Amino acid sequence: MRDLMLYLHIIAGLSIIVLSILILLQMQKKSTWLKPLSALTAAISWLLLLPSALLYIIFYPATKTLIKAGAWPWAHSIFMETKEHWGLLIPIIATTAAGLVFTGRVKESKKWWILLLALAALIGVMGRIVTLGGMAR
Amino acid sequence: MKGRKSLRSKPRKSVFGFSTENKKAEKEKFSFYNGAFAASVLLAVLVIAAELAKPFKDFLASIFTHHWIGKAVLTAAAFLIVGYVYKQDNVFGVKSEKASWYATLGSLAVILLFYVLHFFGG
Repeated sequence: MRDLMLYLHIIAGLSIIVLSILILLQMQKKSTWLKPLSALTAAISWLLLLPSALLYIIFYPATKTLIKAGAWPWAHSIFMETKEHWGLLIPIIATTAAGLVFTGRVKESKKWWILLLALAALIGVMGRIVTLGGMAR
Repeated sequence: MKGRKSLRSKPRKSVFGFSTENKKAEKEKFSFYNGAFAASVLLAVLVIAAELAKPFKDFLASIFTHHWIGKAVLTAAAFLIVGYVYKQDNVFGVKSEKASWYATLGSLAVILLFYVLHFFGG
C-alpha cells in the first residue's frame, strides 16, 4: 500500500511537470490540445492530494521520528513542513492556469504554468532531501 | 504634446506582464484570480497560526481528523467560495491578476521563511 501510494505520488508529480512543459510548448503553436492538456493537469493536481494525504498522515510519522532523531532534523522541520504545505497550492495554481486557458486568457496563463512547473520540481527536490534525511546518521 | 499622444494611439494590452484588459474577467462566473488570492493568503495564515498556537492546530485536527486535512479543506473552500462570490477585478484596490500573483508568490515565500526561522529560532 505504501509503495503504491509512493509511486502514484511520484508519477502524478512528474506528470504535472511534463504536462506543464507540454502546455508551454503548445502555447507557442496555438494548438487545439491546449484545453484538454490544461484540464488534465488541473485534474491530476487535485487527485495528487489523495496519495499525498495517505503518505503524509499514515506512513510518514515513522519516517519523521527517524529524521528528527538523525543528523538532519532540519530535513523534516524545514523541507518536509514546507513541502507538505506548498503542495496544497499546486491544485490552486493548476486550476487558475487552466481556468485562464479556458476563458481565453492563454497569454496570462503562461506565468502560472511556469510557476506550477517550478513549484512541482522544487517539491520533488525537497522530497529527495527528506528521503536522504531519513538515512542520515 | 500632439506628438506624444500619437506615440500611444492604441491602449496598452499589458503593463509589466500584467493585462490591462478585464472585459472577459467581468463576464466570468468564477474569478480564478480572486480565488487564488484568498486561498494563498489563507494558507499562509493557517500555517503560521497552527504552528504558533497549539490549541488552534489541535482544533483543526479535532474537526478534520488531521491539521493538514483541515488546511487543505479550508484552502480549497476559500478558492471555490471567494472565486464564485467575489468577481470584482480588484482586491483591496489592486488589480486581481496582480494581487493573486503576488499573494501566491508571497504565500510560498512566507511558508518557507517561517519554517526556516521556526527551526533556527527554536
